[in-house]
Amino acid sequence: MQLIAHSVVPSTPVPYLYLGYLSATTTEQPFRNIGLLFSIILIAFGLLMAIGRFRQLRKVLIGLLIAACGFGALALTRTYLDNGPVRYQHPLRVTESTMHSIREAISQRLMAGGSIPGDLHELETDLASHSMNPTIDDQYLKDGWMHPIVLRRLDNPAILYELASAGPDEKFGTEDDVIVQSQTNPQAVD
Amino acid sequence: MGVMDWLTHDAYSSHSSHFYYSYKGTHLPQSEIGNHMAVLTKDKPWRLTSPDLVEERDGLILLVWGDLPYWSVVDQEFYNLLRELDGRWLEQVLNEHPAWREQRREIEMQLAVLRKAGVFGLPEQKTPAPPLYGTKIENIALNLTRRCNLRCRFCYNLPYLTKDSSEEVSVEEVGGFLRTLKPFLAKHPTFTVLGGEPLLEAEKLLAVCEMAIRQGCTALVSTNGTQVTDDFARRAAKLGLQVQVSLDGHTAKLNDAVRGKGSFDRTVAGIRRLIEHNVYTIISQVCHRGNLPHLGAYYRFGRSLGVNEVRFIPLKCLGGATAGEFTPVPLDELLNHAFSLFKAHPEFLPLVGRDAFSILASTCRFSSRRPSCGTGLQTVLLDADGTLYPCLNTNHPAFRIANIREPGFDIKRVWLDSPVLNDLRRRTVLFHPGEHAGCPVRYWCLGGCRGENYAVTGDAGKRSPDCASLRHGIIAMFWMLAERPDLAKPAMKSC
Repeated sequence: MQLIAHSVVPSTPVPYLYLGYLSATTTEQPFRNIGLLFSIILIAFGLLMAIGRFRQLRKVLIGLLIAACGFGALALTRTYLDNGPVRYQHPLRVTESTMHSIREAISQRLMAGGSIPGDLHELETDLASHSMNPTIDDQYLKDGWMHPIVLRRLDNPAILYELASAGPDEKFGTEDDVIVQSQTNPQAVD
Repeated sequence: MGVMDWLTHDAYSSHSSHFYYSYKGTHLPQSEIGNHMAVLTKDKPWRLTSPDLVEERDGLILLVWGDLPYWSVVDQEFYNLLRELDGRWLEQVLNEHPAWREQRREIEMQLAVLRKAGVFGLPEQKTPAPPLYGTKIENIALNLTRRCNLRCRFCYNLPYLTKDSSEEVSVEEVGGFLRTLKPFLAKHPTFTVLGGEPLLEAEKLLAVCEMAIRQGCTALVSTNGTQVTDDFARRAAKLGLQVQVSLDGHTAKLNDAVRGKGSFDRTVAGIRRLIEHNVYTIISQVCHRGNLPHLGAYYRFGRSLGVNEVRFIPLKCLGGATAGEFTPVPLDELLNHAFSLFKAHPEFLPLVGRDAFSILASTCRFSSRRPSCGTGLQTVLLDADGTLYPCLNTNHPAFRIANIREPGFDIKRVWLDSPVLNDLRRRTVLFHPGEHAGCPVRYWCLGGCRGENYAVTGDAGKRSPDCASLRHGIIAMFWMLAERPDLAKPAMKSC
């Protein structure tokens, strides 16, 4: 009984979901640099305090404590802020891409005999099972400004629904809204 | 590690530091086996994700899970175990099969491998996602000139060859371009110079290669070999250039039918000159129906010359090849031919490296969701007139990105905002499977060559005209890797 050969699964986790887009964009993590700067200042201040007052045990201890806090902040910056919120520099394109993927998933659902979902979260299972991404979650259903994408059913037999993002001003009904409509229903057009 | 750092992370290298890989025997470090088995032995039945492809050969079973992606070859007994385990408890199955119980430890280790791959586990557990390749530029190609002293029948650049040198990019322009490109480059990119015949501008060639090497690139020159002089060979060796010489057969008859009368002798003289000066020399043949039967003789010839590498690539329906004078060989046939050759002649293996077989073997070894072959993401071509294209095979006006001579040219804006690049990036098998949806090998095939798809169908995102052959070739490669895993050398970047 033997597993004779197999492909190798690389073991490092990466946020592959948006890869196609991040290649065309860049992301900013604005708090990371602030966190790093704060940590370094704490470490430097603490060490200078400890070294400069080496005859006063209490101040040396306080200095070392501050430096230790700095190292703690540094570790937090690396572990939390690196994985924290991402701000896309090209959020419009991220939004459009995500909406098109969602539209594709709805189309597949309709083709499989399903109905238009009442809520986009119903699509999570669909998206996952359609091979695109098994670990899909509600982050995927957000636009490039990290706000939820909304699905609206339309009373139009030719265009069944539309996906909408509020755009950069975060308010629906304004000029900067991003709208992607369902593909035209050919039966309705006929 | 930031998001962009993740994106530039090389899945292959990351793997090697975390994973003890072996095709036979133990597949995971002990600590990982423990972790995975702890999950698997919970009091819930296990579920086997249905494979997308099951193929039997000589009592062995190939299982392919296209979505993960993952493949494995198991013996019939192990396959029976997997099927029995689906939806049941391990203990239950082992109790029914005392012979299997005796192999419990080994079974657990092998199941842990499948658990790690995400094909086997508890129903509610999500499949772990394999990481992706990075997206920084791994390969910069430069068409130094569009002039050439030969007119090879299936040259990829044949429609664009000219005698006019007035618009060719200067050394300074190439240097400036390389400097601006630096923020987008991978850690160890390759710089490939082609043409036309780049040795028609030997001084310029050496100058741009020197600049690229100073920027940390590995420089490779692709030449027809007829213009190699002692002076060039000496300076190329000093600079550390790799020189790939196109030679389409081991005899004048085979080669000259493609590259013109008398070219064989001049090319071989050039190769000898390079070797004499210790230049890293590669000979490369484009395989078609006419020269495939002579592949073994080609390797023998390369060995007798003393070259460092012998390379073969399939004929693509691009450039001059679209005229249809030469017949392409289906990929599966090409791979099977090479496999038989390498098995019969292990003395050829030291010469293997960047050939079609090795590149595909390296790709198939891994379970990686590569978004594309690299075009639009990891490659860029600077043409002789300063125009940028996504890659060598998309050297067509439809894929024009920009020209470095345009007023206000900004590589950052171009690389990030180019509609051509973004279109290629969007239409990946990963995000828009389209016609590839459901294909069990799509993450290894990646939809074929976009340039060739465009040349044949007029749409880069269309299904490859060689779809069936690619699919058969990749499945054949899985079987080959199961038989001879040692044939999968790590592929070099430049191809």
